[in-house]
Amino acid sequence: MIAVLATLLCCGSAPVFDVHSFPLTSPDAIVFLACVDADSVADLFASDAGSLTVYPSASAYKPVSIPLPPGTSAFDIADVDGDGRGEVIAVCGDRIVMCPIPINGKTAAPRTLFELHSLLSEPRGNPVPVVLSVRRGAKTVLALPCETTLEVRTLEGATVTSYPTGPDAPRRVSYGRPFEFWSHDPPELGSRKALDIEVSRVLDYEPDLPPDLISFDAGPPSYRRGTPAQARDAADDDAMAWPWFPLTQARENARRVYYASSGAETLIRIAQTGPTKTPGEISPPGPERRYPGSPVVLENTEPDFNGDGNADLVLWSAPLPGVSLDALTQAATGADWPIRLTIHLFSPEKNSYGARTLARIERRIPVRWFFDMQNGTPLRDCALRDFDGDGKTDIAFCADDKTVLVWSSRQGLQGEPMQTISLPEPVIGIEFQEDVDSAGRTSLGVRSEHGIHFLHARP
Amino acid sequence: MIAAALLAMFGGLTFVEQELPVVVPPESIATGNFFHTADVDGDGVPDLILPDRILLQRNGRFNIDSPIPVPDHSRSTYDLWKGEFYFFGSGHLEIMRWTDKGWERRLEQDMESPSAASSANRATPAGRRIFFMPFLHDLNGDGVPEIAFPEESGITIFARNGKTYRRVSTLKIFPGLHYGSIPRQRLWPPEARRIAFPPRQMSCRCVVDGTRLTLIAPEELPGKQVRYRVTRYEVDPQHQYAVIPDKTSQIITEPMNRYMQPLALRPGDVDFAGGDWEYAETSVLPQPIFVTQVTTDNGAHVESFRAPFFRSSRGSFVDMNGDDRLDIVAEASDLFKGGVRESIERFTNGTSVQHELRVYIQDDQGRFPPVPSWTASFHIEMTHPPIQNDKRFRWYQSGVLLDASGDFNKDGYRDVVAHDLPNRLAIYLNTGSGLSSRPDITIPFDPDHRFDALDLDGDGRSDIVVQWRDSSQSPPVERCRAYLTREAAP
Repeated sequence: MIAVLATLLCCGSAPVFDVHSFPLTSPDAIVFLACVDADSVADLFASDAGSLTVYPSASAYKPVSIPLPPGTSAFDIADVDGDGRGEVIAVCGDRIVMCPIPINGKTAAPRTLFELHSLLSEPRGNPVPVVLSVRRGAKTVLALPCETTLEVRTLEGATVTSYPTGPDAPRRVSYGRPFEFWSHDPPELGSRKALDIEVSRVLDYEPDLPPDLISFDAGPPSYRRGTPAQARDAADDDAMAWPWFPLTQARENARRVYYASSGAETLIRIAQTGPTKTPGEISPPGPERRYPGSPVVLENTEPDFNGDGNADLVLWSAPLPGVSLDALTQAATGADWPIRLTIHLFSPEKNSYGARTLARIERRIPVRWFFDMQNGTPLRDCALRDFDGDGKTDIAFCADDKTVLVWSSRQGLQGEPMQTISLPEPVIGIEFQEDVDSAGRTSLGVRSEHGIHFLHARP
Repeated sequence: MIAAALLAMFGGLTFVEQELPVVVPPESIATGNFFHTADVDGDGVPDLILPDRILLQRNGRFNIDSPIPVPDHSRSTYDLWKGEFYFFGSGHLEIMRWTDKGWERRLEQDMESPSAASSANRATPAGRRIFFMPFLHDLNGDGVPEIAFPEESGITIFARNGKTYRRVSTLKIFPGLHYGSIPRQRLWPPEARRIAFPPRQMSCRCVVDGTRLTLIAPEELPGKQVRYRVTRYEVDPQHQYAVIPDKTSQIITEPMNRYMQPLALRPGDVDFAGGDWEYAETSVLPQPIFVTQVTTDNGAHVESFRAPFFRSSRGSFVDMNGDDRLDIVAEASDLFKGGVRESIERFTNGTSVQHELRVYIQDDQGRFPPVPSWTASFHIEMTHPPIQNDKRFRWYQSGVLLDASGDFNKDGYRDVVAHDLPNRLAIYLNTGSGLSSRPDITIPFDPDHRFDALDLDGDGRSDIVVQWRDSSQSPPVERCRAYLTREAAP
């Protein structure tokens, strides 16, 4: 049941998103995407308090609820029996239970497939989605991490194979220090002569698994992001200590964009990791360039507004209030304050960001967001992704607690937003940013306290 | 060169200023885990042990002209026992003492100690030749220290048997590895589906105190909550330091906020304390509130103390009155006092902040008063209005302009150092019921310098250690200076 419909305003053109709002039973509800049918379009799921609700895309998001078996700690959604419809595979203590999803109205009782004590057996609050079902050749099998092995079983529980993963497993990989200890000096516990020791141990494995099972995705290159304070303090340090983001997704011959804040400006220096360098070695950063504003650097987001494969620079700035105390007080007690977003494209020929801005977006956002910055900007719930599938990054962010504004590169990153989405209650955050139709368009899941608002990118 | 000077003579105290030839990482000065003192040359006066050399104390100053080089033990840790250095790591133990003839080796032996090799993996900063970590403890009270060293399987006890140490017991008391929580995974798109092996982990706190061992293990709960399992063991030195089963006891605390950490608010106790900040929801401007929480009954009752101030990592717990019980030191700023107009005026035009220290003295029942036992107010000058968010204001926000951990006159009461003016440090002596309204001692200071109160020379009086970056050098270098506290001659 669709509880609420967001209000849409479009600026004389087709909206970027269709908006579907669904209720959530509690703030602890887990929202995720999975596929419940054979249409290869993601369906929306919400899990909370032992119940799972699916909103299938193929049936206009008409909700279907399935009670999870009591004691469920983890579950997967997959078509394990090959009937073209997804089932819930739940870990309930040592029982592995299959629950059909009655999307066509037909109901069927849950069925215990087999029993196995695994690392997932112990219930820990809300059940969480985990991958259990995998394809082995033409068969679907279930993989369960156990104390010293990864057990791959048929649906009947017969062992397909068992991969050692315990301390004696081959290809043991530890990230960070596997065993660490240090002492409090002077001790914080015990007498003044006591030894007060902190101990931590972490075991991380890259088991010797087939490629389709390995747990570690190559993914985008990791990089060093900085808090606003770090970016400010960084300007006094050597540029190699600055926060940085990757210029491209290339793993070899890559370039890094080092940034630091200096007053109202951002300092940028670009460094090369060349093929002649030894692994991990970086050439000294190039010359320092200054750009007005502060950087908007979002996790796992390298915006590319012209589709040339290079990350572009997004900066925010806000006009300083006038010197009049009355004006300041009025601004503070008022609802909002202007913010300006500017975009500088990367020029491969000059190996630098252009001084001229590609675009400029000016809006007003709540004053209090300037006092409580997240990700180094007063912007809330900002998404820099390709919403319309043209290969260029688009922009969405909240203008206030309940309003999402959307600009498309295709239609211009300036002036009025292409779409204004008014939600019925304050936004808590962006739950997901995914290409749900596998068409190159990023849809958004916007979370509020009692609902999830699915901003489905339109063709 | 030693630049020693009689710096000030107020409040019965003087300070001797001395440059120290050492690079102190800024984070180390805060942790205090950089300087150590011990009577290395046996003259009855503590000397200063640095990561790469030892400075002997002579006539109230450290002799920087003739430092003692320390042997390179960068791949092991060291502890001190009656002037002897125990270097332990990489399967090796070496005991050395400094004598008139140089370093004298008292013992050298191989040790069966796999985790000692692990400790050698510790990142050793360039130039650091020794690394301090306490591991010596006289468990059986015979005056000879045992070595208690953590290994993956538990705490291993090495006892001296004649001339050498040997492993006598490994107390397998650490909790097992477990998933902290099952991390949710992406089920879609299909190509993102991967079998995950989230790391299994364990963390705990282990306290070795005589024959009693206490293990405190956290268990994370939903909703940013934690509860602790506290297990007390007694070991028997007569039986290979084995755990005495019928003397083992365990309690599980009530759930509490995850920022609550084990801390002995009372001697010998396992209490829990911590703090976190939040924004007050009632004010027009977001007003940061730091909430300090303590419990002395395993979470059955949690006391909260709120003060308008910025972030702090954990809260401040200091024995302010020398009764061996930790008291709460909360800090409050007047930046948000009054209405919106007043706050804005302070942010945009003000160049000073009225800062308040609120001290809650713990009573002998482990309780804290609902209102501060005493307060002290400080007028802190900024270099620019807060809206400019310059380095000094950021330092103020992070709490480094004020220190209430030192005892400069050795009277048992913690005194307060305030970098209250950009160009001075002010020391307020604690009389037991509060601070004087005016500073007892002032020291000329540089706006870009950072300080800490430490007993650098081991005389029981806190000294002031100053660290700064000297940008006149290329490349810039970190510098360090000490203000050694001395009692003024009458």
